Amino acid sequence: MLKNVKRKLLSHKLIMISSLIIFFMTLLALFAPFLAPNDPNLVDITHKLQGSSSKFPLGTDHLGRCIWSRLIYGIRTSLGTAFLVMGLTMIISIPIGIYAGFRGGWVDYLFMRICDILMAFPSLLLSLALIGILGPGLGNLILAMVLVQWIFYARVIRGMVLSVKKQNFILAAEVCGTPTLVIVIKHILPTIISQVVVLAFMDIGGIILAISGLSFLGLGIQPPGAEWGMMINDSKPFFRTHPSLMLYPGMMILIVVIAFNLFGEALRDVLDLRKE
Amino acid sequence: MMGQHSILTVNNLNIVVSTPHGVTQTVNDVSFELEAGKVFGLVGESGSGKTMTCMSLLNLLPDEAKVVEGSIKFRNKDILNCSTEDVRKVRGSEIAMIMQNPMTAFNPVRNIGCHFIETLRTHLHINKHQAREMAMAYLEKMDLPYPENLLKQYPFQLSGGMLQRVMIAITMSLNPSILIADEPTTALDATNQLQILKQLDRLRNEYNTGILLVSHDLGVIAQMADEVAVMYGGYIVEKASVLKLFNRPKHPYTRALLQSRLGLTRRKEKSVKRVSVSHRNLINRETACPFIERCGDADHTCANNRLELKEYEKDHLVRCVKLQ
Repeated sequence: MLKNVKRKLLSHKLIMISSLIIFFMTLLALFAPFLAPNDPNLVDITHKLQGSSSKFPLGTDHLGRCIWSRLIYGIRTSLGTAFLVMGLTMIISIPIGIYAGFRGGWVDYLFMRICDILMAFPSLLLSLALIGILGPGLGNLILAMVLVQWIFYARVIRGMVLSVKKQNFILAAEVCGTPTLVIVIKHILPTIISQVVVLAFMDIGGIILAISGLSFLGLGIQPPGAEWGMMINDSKPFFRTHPSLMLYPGMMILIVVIAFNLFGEALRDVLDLRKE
Repeated sequence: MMGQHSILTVNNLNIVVSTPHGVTQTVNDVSFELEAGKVFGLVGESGSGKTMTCMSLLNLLPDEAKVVEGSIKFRNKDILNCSTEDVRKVRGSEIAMIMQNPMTAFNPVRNIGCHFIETLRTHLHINKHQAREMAMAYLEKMDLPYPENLLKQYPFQLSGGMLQRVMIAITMSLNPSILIADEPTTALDATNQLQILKQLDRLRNEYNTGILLVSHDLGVIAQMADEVAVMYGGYIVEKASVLKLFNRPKHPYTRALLQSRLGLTRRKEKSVKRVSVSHRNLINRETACPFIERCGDADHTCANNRLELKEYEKDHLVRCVKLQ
């Protein structure tokens, strides 16, 4: 079966392209200190708003910082934060979703009502409100996003568990006297995990967008940190004279988000065992 | 009766299920005993309470169902009032169960070896290697070819008959004293049925396991069972040894059931009694006979009498007012 998946992965063009982009981006982020020609945060007013040159491949912004370097360092913030948010969300939502779904009863009921309440608010609005309370900053941004995201995932996971729980093989395992924890870890988790991973990958793009959006509003990364959303915000006053300032970070967001979305979708096609 | 040999005693079991439309009495006053090395057959149509009875033996009733009365004793242990952990230890190792549909009883994302080893290691203190050896030995005993390859295969790569044999191998390996076989052959074709029945027979002879065989296949029951109970509408309507039941059925439902069999030698009979199909009202049932709406012999006495399972002759119990 694993061989089959591997073959499908290799033959899938979308997956190859998107994963290449992601891989390339990750490399850029990992080796940013070596690949960036300049210090991304070095302010040098004498070089402000320059075009591309051998020293500054994509030119400089209004404070004379190298745009290319800032873009590369921006990958670190965007991808790092997005994966951190996703990881924390999974750590919280998988156990809670499985517990609520498997246990059922009043625990499940209580959980669902909490979900209903929180899901009544648009998630971006909710994270905006949370950051408003907590104060701007990367840590608070991550916290706010996780607090908003986990509900959605826990709810989806609960639904998956509910449908798996009623399956005959769970009953068969119970009949054999398998302890509940073993059933959860060895039967339920492997059955739902591929769907959860696909869902997570499809959402990474969304999270990157949300992080950029919140940073654009000045609620995420604080200056002088490099972040795409913030770069777009910084370049607003120079939009007419130097549109490229806004274009580059925008392109980066576009490419990364598309790559992750395509990757997630292709992954879903490949991992969907039911189709076979 | 032979109470001292019985391993499992079910006494006056009553199960109710709450549905959106009301509470149904799914199992009523069911009592039977299971002895080592014997096969107790449970026959009845769909919805007569067979599976509910089986699940209650392992304390695995669905959330909506509840035992309201009665007791289930397994070797002086009260299954219904045990702690969850105690019941779990009994499951598999002492009371095993073969599921109705082998194709769905295995987790599709885990291979056969995983299932086998998991169950073995739940109950026995052995390492993975020993468990693997043991699994291979038992698969071989079930006449399954290439057990080593089989352990690496996924459930969808095997046929229903093979999976059922794997399931029996898993249950056999823990040497349970009771095996509940809930329609073990329903999902299988005739050749596989025969093989499964042979294996069950072997299990009984070699390991002295008591088997509760649930089926609506009368042929299977006739071949395997020592004692048979016929269930209808949650009641045991007739209970007797297999020969008595098949040769001299007393309850009208049993008689209708036996007449409905297709035989190779059956001539075209005009007098085959058809049991009309009507929905029995299981909710808010009064003390009338459950079979009253479909019984050809029913009259006013059937509606008013409290039914009891009475001894018609020695070891032959019938629940019918007419025969008492």
